[in-house]
Amino acid sequence: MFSLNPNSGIPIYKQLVDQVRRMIAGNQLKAGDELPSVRELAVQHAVNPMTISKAYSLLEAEGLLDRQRGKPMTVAQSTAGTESKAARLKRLAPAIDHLVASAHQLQLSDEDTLCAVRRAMEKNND
Amino acid sequence: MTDTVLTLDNVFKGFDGAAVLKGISAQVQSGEVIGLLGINGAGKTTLLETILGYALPDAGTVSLFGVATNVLHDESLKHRIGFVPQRDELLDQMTGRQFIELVARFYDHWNQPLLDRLAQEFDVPLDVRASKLSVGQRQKLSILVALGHEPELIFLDEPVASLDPLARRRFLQTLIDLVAEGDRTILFSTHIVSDLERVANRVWLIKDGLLKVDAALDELKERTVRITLPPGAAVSDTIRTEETLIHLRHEQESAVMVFSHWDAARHDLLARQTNGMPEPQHLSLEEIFLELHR
Repeated sequence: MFSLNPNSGIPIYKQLVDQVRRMIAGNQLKAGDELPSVRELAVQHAVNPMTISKAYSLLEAEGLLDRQRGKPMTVAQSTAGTESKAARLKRLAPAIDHLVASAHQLQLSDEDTLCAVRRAMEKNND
Repeated sequence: MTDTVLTLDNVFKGFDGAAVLKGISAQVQSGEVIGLLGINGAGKTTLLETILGYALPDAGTVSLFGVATNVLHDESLKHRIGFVPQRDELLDQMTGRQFIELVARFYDHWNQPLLDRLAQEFDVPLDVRASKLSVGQRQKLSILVALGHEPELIFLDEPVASLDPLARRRFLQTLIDLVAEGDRTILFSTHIVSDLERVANRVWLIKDGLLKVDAALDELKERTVRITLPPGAAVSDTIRTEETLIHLRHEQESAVMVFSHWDAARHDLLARQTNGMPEPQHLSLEEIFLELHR
């Protein structure tokens, strides 16, 4: 369900928070959907349970997840899938900035870069 | 809710006049998983043995659950602590099962069903003499034995050095399961930084006899950055003397800097000094380890 890379410079909890946020914003996770338990996710990825609970707590504090005692965490009713297009685009901005900077360093033209992006998107949609 | 399970207060330890630990102070709270790093000979094993009371500190004190470890003959402590030494202490002529029975006699509480389950998960044959086991199997067996009395505080010295990747992953998952189960605390030394990066929430790095790093792993990753300046850009004296700059080198035409405590103020400072936008690169734990040893 999630793709975590413990050996990157980005802390694991942050990777998880970002992925859940994106999946909720993109409606891949819908209101009421259950998330795996802390223990399940920790054992599956062989990562520290505290890391997972830290991510869940942050998402709960943001209002994206609901916690009920003794039950799995669920996607909150209020926020799920309601993010505007503008807000979702804003989330994409850092990735775009990175792409633009990399393309510049590689001295690729705007056309060539956009073409490559379009090809990658078509591949993803197949 | 969290209790301090281990306190080190200005601990010194040396052998034959050579100081190995030169004043180590730290605390461990229950439920933490601490990964202990350091190059060969940095003093990882010495630290573990001093904590456990196998070696007495030359100066300073170590307390486990509030009890100084020079009185570790205190029976109540023994039951709460597990230790997997780097070199196993199995008896060659005994089968795993016989050895487990022997060790179990020293404890009031012993969870044999747990060991039977783990033996199966780890794929350790219990009815073969230890002398016939491979190095990896011996290591797995000695991990099992240390868990039998279900200790609250577990010390492991290079627990995975001889395990293949599959066995290592199984072992880590077991460790995670034990931690998730209850308030277990784990301190383990390893050279396999990528494993530590998965399961540890806190990192200790010994260098030159001191705890050079004692930090939450997430925090360490967030505040340690590497910045490569554009080719030709000069490094001003203000930056050169910045106290959090831990390394500065030149690669081709570019200055490469590593900062231990990166924040907005330092970002602004560097942006002003170099007339540009610094692009901080966050590092994996292995890269941080290497940068700290350059």
